[in-house]
Amino acid sequence: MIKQSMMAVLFTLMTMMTATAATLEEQLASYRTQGAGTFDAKAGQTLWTTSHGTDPEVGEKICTACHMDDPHKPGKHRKTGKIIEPMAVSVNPQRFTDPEKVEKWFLRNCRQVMGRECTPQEKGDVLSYLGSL
Amino acid sequence: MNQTTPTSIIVWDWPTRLFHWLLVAAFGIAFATSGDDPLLRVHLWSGFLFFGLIVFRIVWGFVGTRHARFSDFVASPAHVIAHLIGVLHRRPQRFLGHNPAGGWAILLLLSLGLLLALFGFLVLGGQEGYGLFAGLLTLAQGHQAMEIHEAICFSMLALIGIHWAGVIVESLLHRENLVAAMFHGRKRMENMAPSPNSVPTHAKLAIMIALGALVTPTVFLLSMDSTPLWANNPGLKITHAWEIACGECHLPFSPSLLPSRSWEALLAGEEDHFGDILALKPETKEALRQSFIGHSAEDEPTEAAYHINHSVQKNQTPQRISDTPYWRKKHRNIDAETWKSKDMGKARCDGCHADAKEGIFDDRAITWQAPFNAQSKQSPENGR
Repeated sequence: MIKQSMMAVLFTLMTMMTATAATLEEQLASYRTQGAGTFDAKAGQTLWTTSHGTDPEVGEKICTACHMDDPHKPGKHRKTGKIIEPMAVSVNPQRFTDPEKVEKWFLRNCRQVMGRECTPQEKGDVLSYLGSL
Repeated sequence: MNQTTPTSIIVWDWPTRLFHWLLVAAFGIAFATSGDDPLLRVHLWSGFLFFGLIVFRIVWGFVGTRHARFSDFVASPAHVIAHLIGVLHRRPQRFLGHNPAGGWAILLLLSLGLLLALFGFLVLGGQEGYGLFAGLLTLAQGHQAMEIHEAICFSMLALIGIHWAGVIVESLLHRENLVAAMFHGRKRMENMAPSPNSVPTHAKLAIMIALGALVTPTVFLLSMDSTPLWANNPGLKITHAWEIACGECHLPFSPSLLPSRSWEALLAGEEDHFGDILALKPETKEALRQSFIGHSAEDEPTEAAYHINHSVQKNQTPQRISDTPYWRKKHRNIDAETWKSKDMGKARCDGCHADAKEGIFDDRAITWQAPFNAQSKQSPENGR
């Protein structure tokens, strides 16, 4: 009986883990259908840590300005102080499980930081980087 | 017959004296805490006590000991005039109890006190949406009731001034410390006819104590143990779209905190939302519009919505809640240091208002109290 329920719990956990992974994979797959090639976590990291100058009102335009240098740790909205949950999938499995949310924030933040929208290649690289941590 | 007649007797019975000083305390506390939202509780407690005391004194004016009774000190206008002429000639007649002018001051003070408490209840019901008269008045009427409550209060202050003047003049003219008399209850006999013993009977005391024990706590319980009328208003509930679009960067402020034209302006300016690009999709914009139409400051029946809407001039469109005159007035005593402290910030209403997300803003849900020196601390900064 106990063994059975333990197996059930284990099975549920495994399905949950694979479900998350599948969503990230699905996200990457959808970028490939939009014309992206092979994704490179290293390129993603470079993008994540590249500064795009300084805005006189909000400060330095770089992902880590709000998400902080260590993606395993929470970030903070520069003006409102609202806590941003960690970006590394390993500590925050909820990350990138909602495609609508992913697209919303890529759209907003790429325009905010880089002054343009990100390409499917860039998005895939960043997700690969944050998913590999 | 005893050879040595007493030189002084008890004129003010102890319930009257206790009433007097408790009333002074209740009025003083209520006055000191008026207009201070985090301290509204204290204002209400002292107000309920004040009301209970006035009720006691009116009943005691009919059943109390001799000089506590209205029949002892409410004189005809002719007597009042005659007495005041006597004061002008520095030869007023001496009374053991209240003199004719003083008697009227007492009667007026009690009447004004009763009115003051009554309008206090109306303000509580109208402005805060709870208490005995919740739902009786609209917010606008509640605001009018508050102005009357204040006017009565200042009339009472003026009357207290006259009361003091009377006490000082009579103390000087008769060379008798009347303030002390209100503590120990005794006044000089001189050639006055001895009055019946001013010690209340046990039966009367029992009735009065029962009355006192009933009035104040009942009023207190009926008033304090209730939520504002609008606490469960479905119109205050924010939509999912609002929660997601606003709530991912800051507290999803209740749409009731700005007029709808302000929210329209914020939607129109979403490409530069205080420095942030919102990049809202058309359908998101529409969902947000549907979230505030009919639920903005001009629509919702809360105290905060009413006052914010009325504080903003019709030709102005503030884009920050903290730019509205009502918000500024309500937060004027909070210094820069407090705003910077860990859990607070002008975008974080819920740092102090536990019910901020629900848009209720009940004074009893404020979790922060300004230090008493906040005002003096702030003034040099303003001067800079």
